[in-house]
Amino acid sequence: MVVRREVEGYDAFCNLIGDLEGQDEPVYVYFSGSKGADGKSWCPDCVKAMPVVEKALERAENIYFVYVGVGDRDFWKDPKCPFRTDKRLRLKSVPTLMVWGQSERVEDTECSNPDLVSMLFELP
Amino acid sequence: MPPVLPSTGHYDLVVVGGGSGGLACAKESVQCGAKVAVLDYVTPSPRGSVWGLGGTCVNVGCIPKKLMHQASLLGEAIIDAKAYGWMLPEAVAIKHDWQVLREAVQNHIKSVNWVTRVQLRDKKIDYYNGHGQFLDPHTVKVVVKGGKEHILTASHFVIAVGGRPRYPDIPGALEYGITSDDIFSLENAPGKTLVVGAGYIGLECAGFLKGLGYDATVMVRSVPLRGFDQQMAEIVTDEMMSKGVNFLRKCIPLSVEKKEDGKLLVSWTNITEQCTQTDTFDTVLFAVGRRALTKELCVESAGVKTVPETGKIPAENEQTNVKHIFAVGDVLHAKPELTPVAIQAGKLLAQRLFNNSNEQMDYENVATTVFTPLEYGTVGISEDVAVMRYGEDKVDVFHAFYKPTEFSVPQRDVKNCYAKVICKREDPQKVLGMHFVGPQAGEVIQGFATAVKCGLTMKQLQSTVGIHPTVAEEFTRILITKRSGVDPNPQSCCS
Repeated sequence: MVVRREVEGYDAFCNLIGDLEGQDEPVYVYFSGSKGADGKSWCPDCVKAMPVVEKALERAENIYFVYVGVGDRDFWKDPKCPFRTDKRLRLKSVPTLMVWGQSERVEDTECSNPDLVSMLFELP
Repeated sequence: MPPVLPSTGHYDLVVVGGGSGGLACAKESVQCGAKVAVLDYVTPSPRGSVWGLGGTCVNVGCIPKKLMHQASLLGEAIIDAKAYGWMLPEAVAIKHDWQVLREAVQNHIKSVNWVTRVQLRDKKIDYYNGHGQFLDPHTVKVVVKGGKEHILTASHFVIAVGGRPRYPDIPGALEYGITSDDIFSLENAPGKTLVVGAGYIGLECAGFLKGLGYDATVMVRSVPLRGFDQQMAEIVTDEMMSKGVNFLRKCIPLSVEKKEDGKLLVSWTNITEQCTQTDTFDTVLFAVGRRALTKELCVESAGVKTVPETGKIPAENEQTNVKHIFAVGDVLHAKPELTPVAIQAGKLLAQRLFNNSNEQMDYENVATTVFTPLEYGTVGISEDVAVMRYGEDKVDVFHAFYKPTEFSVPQRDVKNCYAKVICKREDPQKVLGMHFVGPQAGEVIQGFATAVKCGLTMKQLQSTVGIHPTVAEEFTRILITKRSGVDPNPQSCCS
């Protein structure tokens, strides 16, 4: 079963990930440009990637999946954006999908490649 | 893990070995339109170390080595920093944490493993994480995790299985010793370490261990850095000795025993003094050479000939005696065991196989660097080889000791900062070899390697204007020949 969480912004993310850190199940974190009033992210690559990630999640088992909205475009584009500077994250692009606490991640347009996204879910 | 891509089992190319050479060849082949599979498998070391896709360089070679070397250099820099005005605790209060370094290094490696897998998938190369064996000249069997077998056939094969460290045939070596396969992922700090073997791997390991604060001893059977310029080898080891690395010269290990307190008692024969000596260590690292992994691949089933002593494959233009089977990288007989050599050979081979190219790999004048505490960079031939090949009166050796500007303030010892250029004596004095011991030797020698490849002459080198103040500029102002007998020690800075 996939346990889903969704948070908005850096502080909310930090709180949630702190709570999840003791879990045995792998925690997958997906960073995306935040959704606007129309429910769509401002980031076109994120819009493209989301259905690919959703598809991979259908086949996933016993994981946590955390959707993180990193904020609006201006907040994200700031080089001092905490999502970029946090040593645990060092995000370079949205979307980024990572396995928490591990080195593996898919970034940017890789997230809309079903092969690469499913590869991340094949990890032991 | 079985590949996700549907596979008919027949490929244009099957590459056995996912290291630098194999991967470069696979990627280039796909670029040329070929259907390619890569097999990669790591047999656990006797100590149980395993790693991911990418081969020796990424996992247990150049990359972790360079990072640990850098860690060691930073320790020296901290000491220098005080002379430059940085206010720091007393040297004894500055401690190094092995676990932090190991984890950082391993994390970097894991991210490279991952990126490599992503690249393979992205380029639609089928990746089999399993042990491959030739069944016949056109068929390889691969056994993946869980015991599942795949039978792959291909029009071409590239053997790129590389090599693994050898152990000496002495009691206790396999049980208690480690090798470069283990050191970079070692759970606990190595402590007092004996490195057996004084090739470049042995010297580099001893060098960074000492730099990180561990007692380090190198046991040398014959000479250090055999195959390298022997004057430079002595300079490198002299520098290591002045940094506190112990050398046991002309000694051959006899046995390793584990004592009750967990320490390792090592006995060896001292050939010079004709006696047996012993000492205890926390860690014994063997760096006594490497053997090719051709036996594991059952190359004889494909009819591929190997050199009996080493298991290596003799090949002409990377082609084995079986004409559709090729080999690149460390598995090749009498070729430099260097990542960039394997990559270049792999790429060029792919271009010849699938893109009608006829460009061959040039194995001459390949530069390399030994990352000892004071680095040693070299391109071309050694003085020893030059004299042997051309005769002493046919070659000139230009040389100079020099003082790196940045060594002056912390008053670091400059006695081993040395550069030499070997050239033909007759005009136009073609450069045969360049050798440099000093900081950043790799960065210094890389550009000169291009010059040597272009047929650099001594006159061209001496007419090159230097960049001041750098260490690389020393090469542009080497004017003294050994033959002249003039003192090669440096004059003042800008004279």
